[in-house]
Amino acid sequence: MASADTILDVTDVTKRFGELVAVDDVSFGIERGTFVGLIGPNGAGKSTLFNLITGVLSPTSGSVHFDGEDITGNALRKNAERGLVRTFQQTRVLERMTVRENLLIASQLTNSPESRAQELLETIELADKQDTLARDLSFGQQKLISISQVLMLEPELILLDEPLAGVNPTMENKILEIMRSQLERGKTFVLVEHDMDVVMSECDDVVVMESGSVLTRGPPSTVQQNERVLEAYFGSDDDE
Amino acid sequence: MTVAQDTSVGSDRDLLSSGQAWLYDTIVSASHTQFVGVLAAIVVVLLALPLVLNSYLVQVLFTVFLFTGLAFGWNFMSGFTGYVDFGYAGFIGFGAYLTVISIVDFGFPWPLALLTAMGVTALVGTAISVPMLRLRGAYFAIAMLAAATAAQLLASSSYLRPITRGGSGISFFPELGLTGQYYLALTIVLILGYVTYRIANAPFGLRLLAIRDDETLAASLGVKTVREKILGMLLHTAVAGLLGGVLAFNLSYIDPNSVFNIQYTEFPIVMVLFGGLGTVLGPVIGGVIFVVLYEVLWSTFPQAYQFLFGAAIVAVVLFMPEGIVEYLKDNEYIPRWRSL
Repeated sequence: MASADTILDVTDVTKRFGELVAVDDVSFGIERGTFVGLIGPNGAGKSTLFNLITGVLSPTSGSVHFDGEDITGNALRKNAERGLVRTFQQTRVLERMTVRENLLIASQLTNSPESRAQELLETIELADKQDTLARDLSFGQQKLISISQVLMLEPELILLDEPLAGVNPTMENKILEIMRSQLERGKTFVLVEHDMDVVMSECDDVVVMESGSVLTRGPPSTVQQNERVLEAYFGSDDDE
Repeated sequence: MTVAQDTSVGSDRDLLSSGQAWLYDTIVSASHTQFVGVLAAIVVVLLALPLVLNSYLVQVLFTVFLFTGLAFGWNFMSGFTGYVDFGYAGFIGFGAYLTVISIVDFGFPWPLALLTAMGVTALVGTAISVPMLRLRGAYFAIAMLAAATAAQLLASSSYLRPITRGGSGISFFPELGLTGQYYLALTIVLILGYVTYRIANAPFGLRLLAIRDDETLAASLGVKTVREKILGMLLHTAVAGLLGGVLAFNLSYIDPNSVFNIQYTEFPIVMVLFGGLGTVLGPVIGGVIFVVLYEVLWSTFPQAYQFLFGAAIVAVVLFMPEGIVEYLKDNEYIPRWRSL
């Protein structure tokens, strides 16, 4: 399934925690420059899959290829260096560091971190708060910091774990705007998101997970019609 | 901690009392030359003090320098990265033994003995700590405490008696007298202060602080967390080894109970907590206040000084949980600079 333009290739990936199979034989590929939605009920294994791809966890079996290279079980930092980055579901910022320091920390791979940080701060309209401690920002502003941090690394593939959860509409638009402009520059996004309107209107492609497996995959219009998706997503409340 | 972060600095300043604003404005408007001038004046006074003070007060000031130095050393690792080391005395005792043995048994001149203690403690101490750096929070602290206890037991054990003389200890005649120790400790503190200042303003210091705030996030942003922690540990242990030797000079007799004493772990920790974790001024402010308060309480209330001292520590931790320097920064008594 790997074509010349496949940036990420997940092959037969399984993750067991004791008896629990959190991710069960998952395979899919992602084309460069696309915006892919990863959806599914709570506990479907989306965040675990993110952890397996980015190196927070190692898969029990299966492999992950990024840009044609086997990165299975590589450390989070190594993947970040190669251009595969992520944000976390729980918004994480360096709380006791200033906004500017939060961006500069991600500077080891950039040639001119100062100007890059300045540029990003202006994009997210936080330039006037650059000396404020991150813990004193609003939740939405912290989300913007998280996204800017990974963009400091000038990544190719960006995995966003619920970047819009709990964010007001203005902030949501701002975040989507940033993503669209990055897409125009040829970056690739994978987005875990519960807001179906966003997924259906923004994504080129949607992967639907349920109970650790891929239920279906396709363009939003097709996925939306799928009986099993409707049942899995709206029918039962599977929390495990 | 200010809540009114949304308003501009200008309007915030109007709300401040004049004393607060005075300190803040003085620092902000001071030139680099003025800072250096003030610092130079303090150094000149400290250099002159042994000429006029009696030996008791020289000893008190030496103690201030020794503990401030230890606080700087502890701060490199535990203040900046948040890896709280409860076994610092282990490295200090190790350094003290290395220094004394290399003088007494190998005839090293004292400067060489100190450098040996510094280098060997850094290498051995860091090598021992590397596996424990996988542990986080309280687990790291407890593992380091256990390692320090093991080091002390080893020093007094019969196996190492031919080298350490076991519990009977080693007495020796330090070539460096009290005044010499004073100047040596002062020099070391000045160097450590400068190194801390440089680190706090460098990307390296930022990376150490990022590990403290969220190590996984730091790694996800490309920070080589293992490498940075090892570098922090090398600085942390090197200082302990060096000052362990200086401590031995001051005691002129070492045994496992004196140089592995848990106070050499406790005092630097409390000083840095007092002053401010991962800051430049924290260890100095904490060190001075701590030793002066201790001496005053001890001489004024010989029956109750430990109780009063404990109460003072509790009060600071309750009202300024991140230390004096962070408190001053949060309330805009001083600017939020990494240099402070």
